[in-house]
Amino acid sequence: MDNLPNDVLFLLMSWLDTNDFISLSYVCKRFQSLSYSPLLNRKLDFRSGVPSSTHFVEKFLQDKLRSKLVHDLSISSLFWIKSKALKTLLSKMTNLKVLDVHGTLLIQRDLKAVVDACPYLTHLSWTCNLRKDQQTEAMDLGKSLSKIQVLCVYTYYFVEFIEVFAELMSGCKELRSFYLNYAVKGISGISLQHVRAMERILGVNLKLAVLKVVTCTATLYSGMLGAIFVDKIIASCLSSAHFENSASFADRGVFRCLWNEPCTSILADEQIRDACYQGTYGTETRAAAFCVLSIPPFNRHNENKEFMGKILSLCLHNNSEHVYLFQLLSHHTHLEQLRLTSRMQSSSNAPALLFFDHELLTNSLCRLTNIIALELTFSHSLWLEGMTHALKCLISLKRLRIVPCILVDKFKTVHSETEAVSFKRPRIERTLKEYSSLLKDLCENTPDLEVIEIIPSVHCCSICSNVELSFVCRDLAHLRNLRHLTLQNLVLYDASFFREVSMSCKKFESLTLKGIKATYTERFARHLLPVLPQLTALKHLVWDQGYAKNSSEVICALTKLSNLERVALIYNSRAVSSEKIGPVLELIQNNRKLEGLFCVFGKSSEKACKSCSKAINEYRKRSGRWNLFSLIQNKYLHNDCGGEYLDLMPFYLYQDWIVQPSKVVLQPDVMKV
Amino acid sequence: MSKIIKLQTSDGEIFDVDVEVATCSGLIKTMLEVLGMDESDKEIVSLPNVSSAILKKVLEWTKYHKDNAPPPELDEPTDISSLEICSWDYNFLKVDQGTLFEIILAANYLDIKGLLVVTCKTVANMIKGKSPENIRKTFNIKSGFTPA
Repeated sequence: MDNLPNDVLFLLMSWLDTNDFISLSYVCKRFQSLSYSPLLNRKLDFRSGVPSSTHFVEKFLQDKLRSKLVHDLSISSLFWIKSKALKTLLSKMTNLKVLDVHGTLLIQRDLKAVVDACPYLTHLSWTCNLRKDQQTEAMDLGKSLSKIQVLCVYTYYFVEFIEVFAELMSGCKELRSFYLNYAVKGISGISLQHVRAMERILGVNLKLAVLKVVTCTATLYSGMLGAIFVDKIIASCLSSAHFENSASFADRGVFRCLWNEPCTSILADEQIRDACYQGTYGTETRAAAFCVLSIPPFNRHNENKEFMGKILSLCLHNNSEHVYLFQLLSHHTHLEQLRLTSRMQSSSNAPALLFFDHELLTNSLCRLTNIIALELTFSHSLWLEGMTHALKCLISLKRLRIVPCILVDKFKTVHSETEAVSFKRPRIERTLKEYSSLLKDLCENTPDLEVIEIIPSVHCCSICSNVELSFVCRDLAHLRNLRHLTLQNLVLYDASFFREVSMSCKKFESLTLKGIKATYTERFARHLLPVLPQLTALKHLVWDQGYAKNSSEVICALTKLSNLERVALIYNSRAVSSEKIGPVLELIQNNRKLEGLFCVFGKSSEKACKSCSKAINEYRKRSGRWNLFSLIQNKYLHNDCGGEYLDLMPFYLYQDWIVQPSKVVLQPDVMKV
Repeated sequence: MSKIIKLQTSDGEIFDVDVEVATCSGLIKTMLEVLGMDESDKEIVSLPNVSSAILKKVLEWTKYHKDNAPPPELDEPTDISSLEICSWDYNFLKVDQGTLFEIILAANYLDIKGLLVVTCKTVANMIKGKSPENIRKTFNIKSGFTPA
C-alpha cells in the first residue's frame, strides 16, 4: 500500500470516514504528511462510527498544524473529552464555520468562549441547558450568537423556560434556519403552549426561513411520541410581516405533519387552510389520494370524522403504540382494508408499554365491522391478548395476516440457540399458546375467512417445541371458504388435518409451508404426502424446507393435481440424487395449467438440474407452452442470479409474485382485495 | 465492425482491444482524440506502467461494465461512502493485496474512474475500524514513526 502514488492515497483518504482517516494518518510518516492537506481537513465528522483509539482522535484534534484547516466539525460522538479540553482545542480552530457539539461535555460557558474565538462561525448545534443554575450562562451565550445563521438546538423542557429561551434567541439577528429538538414531560406536555412559545421565537427572529421542530418525550419513555413538524417554511412566500403569529405563517406555508397529538392542537387553529396530512399515516392507494388533498383541520368537527369514514384502505405504521392512533381508528367506520404495523425500538423498554392500551385497541378494532382484509405486524405479545376478542367482532373479515415479530430485535443478535432459549422461552411459549387459541376462535367465529397467514418470527419454532399447533389446525376445516393458508415457523408434526381441510374446504387453492421445525420435517412430509392428492382445488403450492428423501414422491403426487398453476419446492438437503429430479418433466407434461415451477434440489446435483432445465425447455418449444416458466436449481438463489431469474420470468408472473432479491418467495399476493 | 487498437504492456505482450472498450480509459481516449483515430490503426500504444496480467483484469472489468452494469457515475468524490460494491465487482476484486494495488495503480494511470472508485472503496473497507497498528499489520507497512 505504501507504493501507491500520492494522488491515489489522497483520493483514498478523502473517501474514508473521519475515524478511519485518523487511523490511516498515524500509520507512517508519509501518510501523516499527506493527511495535512487542507482539503482533507476541511470537514471532520465524528457523528457516526466508533474511533479505533480515543487517544489518536484527541492527538489528531490537538494537532496545531491542523486546527486552522478545519471548517466543518461535528463531534457529537466524542463524549469522553472534558469540557475544558474541548474549549482549548476548539478555540484554536479559528476558521470554523460549522460546529456541532451536541451531546458532548462542553458546557455553555466554554461554548461561548469557543463561539467568540471563531469569527466565521455561522452554523451551530448544541445541547442547551436551561436549568435554573445555567440560565445566566445560556443567556450569555445568546449574546454571542449574533452571526449565527443556522441553529440547531437540543434541549429539555423548553416550554417551561420559554422566557429564557426567547431571550437567548433574541440575540440571533441573522438566523435563517432553526431546528429545535426538545423533550417534554409525558404526553400531556405538548399543547398550544408550544405554539405560543414558537410564536415568541418567530417574533424576534425576523429573517427565519426554515423552521423544523421535533419534540419527543423524555428519553426515559423512549420512542418518539409527539412531533410538531413544520418543515421548510419557504422564505419567498413569507415576508417578515407574516411571522406575526403562527396562524398567518401556517396560512401561507406548507404544513406537513406527522400524525401525532400535537398536530391536532395546531390544526385546530381555524386559520390554517393548507394542511397536508402525511407521513406515518396512510400510504395505501386510496389513502394516498387523501394525503395529497388539501384538507380542513382534523378532529375539530364532525365533518372530519366523516372524511375519515370515507377511507377504505389504511396503512398505519406506528412506532410507539400511541394511544391516539387507536382512538383515531374508531372513526374509520367504512374501512375495508387495514394494515397495522408496530415495531418498538427495543423489547426491553417496559415504560413504553405503559402507553399501550390493548383494551382501547380492541375497542377501536371492534367498530371496524366492515373490515375485509387485516394485516397486523407487531413486536410484542401484549397485542395478542386483546386481539382474540376484537377478531370476534370483525364478522366480515375474509383475509387475515398476522406477523408477530416475537422479540425479533433481540434475537437478531443472539445466534446460538441455547443462549436464546435461556432468554425468553416462557414468553414465546405463552405467545404460541395464544396463537393456538386465536386460531381456534377464528375458525369458530369467522366462517367467511378465506385467507389465513400466520408468520411468527423465525426463532419461534427453533426455540419452542412444546406448543404444537397441528391439533388446532383441525379446526380449519370449519372454514368452508378457506382459499389460502400460510403456516410458517410453527411447530407442526402432523399434516393429516389437511385431509379434513380438503374434504370441507372445496375452494382451498393455495398453500404455503415454510420453516416447519427441522426435526419434524420428515414426519410432517410423510403425513402430507398421502393427503396431497386430495387437495384437488390446489393452484399454488410453496413448500420450503421439504423433506428431501421423498421429493420424487411429492412430485408424483402433484402430477395428479390438475389445477396446479404455480409450484415452488425447496429442499436444502444434500441428499437429493439425480434420479429424484426425474418426475419434474412429467409434472409439467401432465399439468397443463402449470405456469410456474421453481425447484431447489439440495446442493449436489447441478448437472442433473441443468439437464432437467434443458429437457423442460425443449418440451416447452415442442409443445408451444410459452407461458410456462420454470427454474430448476441445485442451490438457493442468491443476489447474483436474482437478476437473471427476473429476466426469465414472464411479466405477468413478475407482477403477481413476491420476489425478493435475496431469497425467492413465490406466493400470490393474497392480501389484495 | 468496430475498430481495434493495439495495446502493448510492460512485459511486451500485445493486446487487440475494441476501441469502445479501450476508450473507457481516459488516457487512451485523450490520446486518440489528440492523435486521431486513423493513426491508431497502425501504431501500437505502449503502456509501460501496466503488466499483461493486470491489463487482462482491467479489460475484464471494463468489458463487463460496458456490457452489463455501467459503473456508478460519481460527481462528488465524497459520494463514495454511500456507494455499494456490486456483487460482480466484489468477486472480481477478491484478489491478493499486491494485485489489488496494482489494479489501483493501473486504474489511476489509465484514468478509469469507475474502477478506481471500487478498488479504493475495497481498500477503504479493509481499513474500516482498524487502529493504525492494525492497518500496518494488514498492509505490512513499516512504521515510519519513532516513539516520541
